[in-house]
Amino acid sequence: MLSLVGKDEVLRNVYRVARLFDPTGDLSDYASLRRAFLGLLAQKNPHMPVNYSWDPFIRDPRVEDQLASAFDVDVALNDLDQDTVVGDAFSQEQRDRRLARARDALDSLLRLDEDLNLVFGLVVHSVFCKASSPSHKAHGGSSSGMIGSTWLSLNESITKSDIMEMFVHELTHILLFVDELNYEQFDYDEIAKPENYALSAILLKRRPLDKSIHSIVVATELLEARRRLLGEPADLTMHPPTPELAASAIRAADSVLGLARVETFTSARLLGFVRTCREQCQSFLSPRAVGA
Amino acid sequence: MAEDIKKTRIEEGYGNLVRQDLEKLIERVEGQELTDSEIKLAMKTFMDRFESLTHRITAGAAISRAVEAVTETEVLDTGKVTEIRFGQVPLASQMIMVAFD
Repeated sequence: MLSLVGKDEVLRNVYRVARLFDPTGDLSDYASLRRAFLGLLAQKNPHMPVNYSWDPFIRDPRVEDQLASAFDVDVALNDLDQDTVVGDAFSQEQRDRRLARARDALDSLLRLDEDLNLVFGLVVHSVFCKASSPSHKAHGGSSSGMIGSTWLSLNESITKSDIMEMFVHELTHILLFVDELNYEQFDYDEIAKPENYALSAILLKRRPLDKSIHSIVVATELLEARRRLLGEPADLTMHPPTPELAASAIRAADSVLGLARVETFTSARLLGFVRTCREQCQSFLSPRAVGA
Repeated sequence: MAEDIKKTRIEEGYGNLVRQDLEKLIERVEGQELTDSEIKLAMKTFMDRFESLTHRITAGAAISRAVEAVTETEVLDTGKVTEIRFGQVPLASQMIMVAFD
């Protein structure tokens, strides 16, 4: 989303939502804008913890459980048992070790780009670590049930480069959720119907349209992050190599845009994102598109 | 007055985080838990975080520029969309995005 619409558009999305919480205050500085934005999230999700501190990493197991409960709902758009994906808590020692790895990766990522640093700090209030359930192999996720919170499982095998990409990945979901607070995106009755499923860019399966479109935007943001900031280090294990990811995102975009009557259950804005992502991904098909 | 309160709030939040980091670091140095190279690395990490926070805190001009064109009508429109979003039956509209292996 950040490369797709730019920092200013993201700031305006956050600002308009923050204004709803604080209609008269001065929200032109970072701290006030963030506080009002988080205030709105807290007001709308009174049962969910919102972390106002400047440190997003959650060490309290009770807060972790509350945040994880945003995943624990059997919703119409779940196609892969998402409600059972978050597993057990880690021991405090394991949690601290994982959080230290996550912090190191996040610090390294945010040093690379001032806009990314600004936007991440504004919208991501909580990062928590819990295992993936034994029946799933998942690296983490985000839920619109608690916007601004990110779950990471941080298996031992994933690398620092993977974690940096994971933060770009999850930030994209969260920014799409924030965009949806400003602009309606879907007709939910329609997108839950299997005939309206489309290919996803990363799993390459037919999935509900929200998953498919999010995956296209995530893939594009990852590719742009690799081009501008990260390169494509040899230790990447999570997301596919650049030409493969770009080709998959283009196939997924074609699948979305080829759905019958897609414009009747997906907003023009969102379809515009898909078209732009498709164009951006075209430029990554050459193996030399991203430096090592 | 409002400006003073705002400034104080920013400094409190910012100062607490910086102080906590520094206190933790000093404790570890005093407890001789760290080697020289670990101390250097910890200081570098601390300074990086300090710079990152400084950038955010001083981003006011960028925020002002970005939001100056937002109108009251846009905020009202956003209010309607936000109400719909949070008001929709959760089981119908909740999106759970998982990064599967």
